[in-house]
Amino acid sequence: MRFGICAILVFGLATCVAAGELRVGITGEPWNLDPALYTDISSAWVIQNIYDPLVELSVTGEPLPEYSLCEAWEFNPDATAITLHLRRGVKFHDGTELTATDVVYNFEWILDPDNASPVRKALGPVERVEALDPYTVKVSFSYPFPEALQYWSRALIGIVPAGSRSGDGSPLARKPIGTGPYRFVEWKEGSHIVLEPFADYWLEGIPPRDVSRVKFVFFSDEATKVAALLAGAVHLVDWVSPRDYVALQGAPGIEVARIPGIMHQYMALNLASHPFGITRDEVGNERAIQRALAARKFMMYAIDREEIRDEVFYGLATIMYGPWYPDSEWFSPKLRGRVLHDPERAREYLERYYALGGERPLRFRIIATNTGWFVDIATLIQAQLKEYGVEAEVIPLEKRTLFATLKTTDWEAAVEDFAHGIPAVLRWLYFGYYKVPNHNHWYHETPDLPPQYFPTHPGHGEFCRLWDEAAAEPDPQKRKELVWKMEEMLVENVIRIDLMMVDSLLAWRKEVRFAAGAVPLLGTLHLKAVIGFGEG
Amino acid sequence: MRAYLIKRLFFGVLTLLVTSFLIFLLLRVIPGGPVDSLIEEEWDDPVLREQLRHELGLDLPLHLQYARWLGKVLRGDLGVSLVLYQGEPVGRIILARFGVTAQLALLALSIALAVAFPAGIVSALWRDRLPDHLFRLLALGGISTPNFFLGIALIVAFGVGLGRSWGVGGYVPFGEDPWGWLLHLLLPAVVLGTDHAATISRMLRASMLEAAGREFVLTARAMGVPRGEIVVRDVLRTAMIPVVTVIGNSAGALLDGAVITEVLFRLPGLGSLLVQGVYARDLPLVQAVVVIAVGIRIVVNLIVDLTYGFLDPRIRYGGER
Repeated sequence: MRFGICAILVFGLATCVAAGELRVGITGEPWNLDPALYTDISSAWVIQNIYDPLVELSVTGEPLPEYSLCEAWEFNPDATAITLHLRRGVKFHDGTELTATDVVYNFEWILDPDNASPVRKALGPVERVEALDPYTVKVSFSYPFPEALQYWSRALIGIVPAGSRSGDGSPLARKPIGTGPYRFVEWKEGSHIVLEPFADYWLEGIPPRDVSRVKFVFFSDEATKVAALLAGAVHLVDWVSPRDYVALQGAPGIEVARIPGIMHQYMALNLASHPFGITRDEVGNERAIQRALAARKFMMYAIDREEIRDEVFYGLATIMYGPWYPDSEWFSPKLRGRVLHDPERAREYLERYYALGGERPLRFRIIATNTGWFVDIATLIQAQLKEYGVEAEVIPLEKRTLFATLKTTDWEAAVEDFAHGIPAVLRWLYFGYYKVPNHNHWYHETPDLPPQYFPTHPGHGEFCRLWDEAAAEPDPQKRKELVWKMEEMLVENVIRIDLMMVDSLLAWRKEVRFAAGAVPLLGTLHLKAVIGFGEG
Repeated sequence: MRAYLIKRLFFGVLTLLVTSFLIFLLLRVIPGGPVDSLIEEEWDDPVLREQLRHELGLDLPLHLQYARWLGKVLRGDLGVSLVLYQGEPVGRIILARFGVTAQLALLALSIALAVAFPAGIVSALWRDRLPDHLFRLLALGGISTPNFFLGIALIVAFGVGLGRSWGVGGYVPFGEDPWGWLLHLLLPAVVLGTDHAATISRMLRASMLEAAGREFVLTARAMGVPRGEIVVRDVLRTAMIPVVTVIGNSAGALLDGAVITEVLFRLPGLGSLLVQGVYARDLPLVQAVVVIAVGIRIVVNLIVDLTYGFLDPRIRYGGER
């Protein structure tokens, strides 16, 4: 009897303290685990648990020093330099301590053009990086750069030990060494990556003792990934689609969360071809310019975003009134809440388009990526436009083919999305509208405009001037006002049709316990926020 | 026989060469390339783009790129992965993945044959009676059901419904856990083998019925040779020639089917590697996998052709007398 009780107690105790394998289902297999060389989202999922970022950002773009290697920082008054104060006592997985030398090395390695880092430009206008003492780094810029921390949240997502990248190719790509809560153990190609808890991690209680190891399991098929979550083969997944989210709500043993997302859905309109733009022969032709603008304005008012939100995203998205998050202080108050779907105005603009010599009926192609929800959006828009007698043909394309097509002028409209990895409005305004080539082919005459492109809709020169002014403006209020002006200009000229931000939809098994408030704060199921695992 | 073999091998190598060149061209014609995978669209930099093109040898004229690739292949070097497993030798990656696909294909073929032979024989022996109707119906279902549908149905049934972890895919090496190995491969092998089982069984039925009507079979029956002996020694053997062709085709086609099945069941084989490689535009990797798949087809076809001679001694190769 006593033996029996002892056995039960021992077994019970063992059950309580037994650490388990936490399995994370991710879409795709990582390509490269070096934080300065990866370019795919699957790698980012593993990297964020092996390394620590210099500065972690919240889902809304606010710096979170409690999760960062930098515990404090200050800009100089004109934002041309920043002083970073590093956390003390942080150790790399190889046992060495993180110091300013390591941070300087990370900057210098990325900045060296020979290393071909894809995030070199994401460091911004860095001119000089110096270690003031073992825990203080000063970074100077060639012009005011107040958005440095937002940019670095991508470029410096992981700090590596000084000298760890050497020779031909980075050894960190396959055998990473960071300061993160989990250290690399093995990579089974095509199957999984295994990490184990790092005992000397600096964040209290992380990783939890219940986790003996972490296995990142690769999935190529979303249905299998969700089935694995339901079957308990994985404990959490990187993301779920709106359709799966609805199905997972209320499923036994499953927790779900919906938080503001970063996936910006839009319809790009080609300003360098008919009907939404002009041809090379029509440069400066006011009638042609107005005709194209009328066609774009028709689209702006004819598309019913609410129907798209409800039918394609099951209501799990936030409608956009312009090019930036509607609730952000960086979004123009004038645009917030404006009328988006107005069939009467749509008809007026369509008639105007015809009156200015537009082809009747208005007819064009919509190209859309053949995975995800893009074809669904395109076909719904096609149906909505049919009510106005407009003929849209939907052409599904493989993602890379679509992006290659966008660089040509052989398309009229495209449904795509953009993940705002860096929550900085100026960055998006630059990438989306300033840069050549951009997805709309909105350009003005400049000496460096490549010969295959030409000036299209007027106003691009003024837009670029405003952007340059905003980028160099250290005063946040003045910068904000310049940004609003640019946003209003984009909406007024319908350079692109912003549809909605899809919510980030997360799902995990109840065995995984996150720190209170951490999931909505970080915006993802970050393992740094896991504080418990198992039935207890 | 030797002359025939040499001729077949010569044309096999020629086919492989022509195919490899066509694949090489096709991979370079499709939009997007490895450089697009190695830079982030958001941080695209024309200087970096050119630098990478030069480092990867993609700025060379096409014929030089092909010659360089071919020269390396002839020296046994399939190149290195540019995107998926950056810097890793393609030969090593393929070797690691080939085993899984071979195991899946063999198990699928075994399941297909284990189902097809009894079904085909029973259907032929009980022609137009209940067993024949039943197997015809099953065969029609097997041929008509797409792999991806059957795969998801099995995942939902075994993984979600019964809560079996092996029901949602993955791979366990035989050496680590033989039972786990079998369980993890069983569902994908069933998916892959189903339509082949259906095709082989229908072909076997048709061939057996045709052979059963031949004069030598009627003579044997008239001479009172037992039915079982006639079926095994005369009918089945004669019926095997077209069946072997179908089995050969099936063996070659298993790799095609493995693409979807491996993706669905998370198997680290050549099929899933090919899909990953295409999405990532990892040109050397895709090129090598496709060339190897073509090579396997050529070898399987040769083996099938040589098998005819063993099944029917009247068949001679290359004008032998």
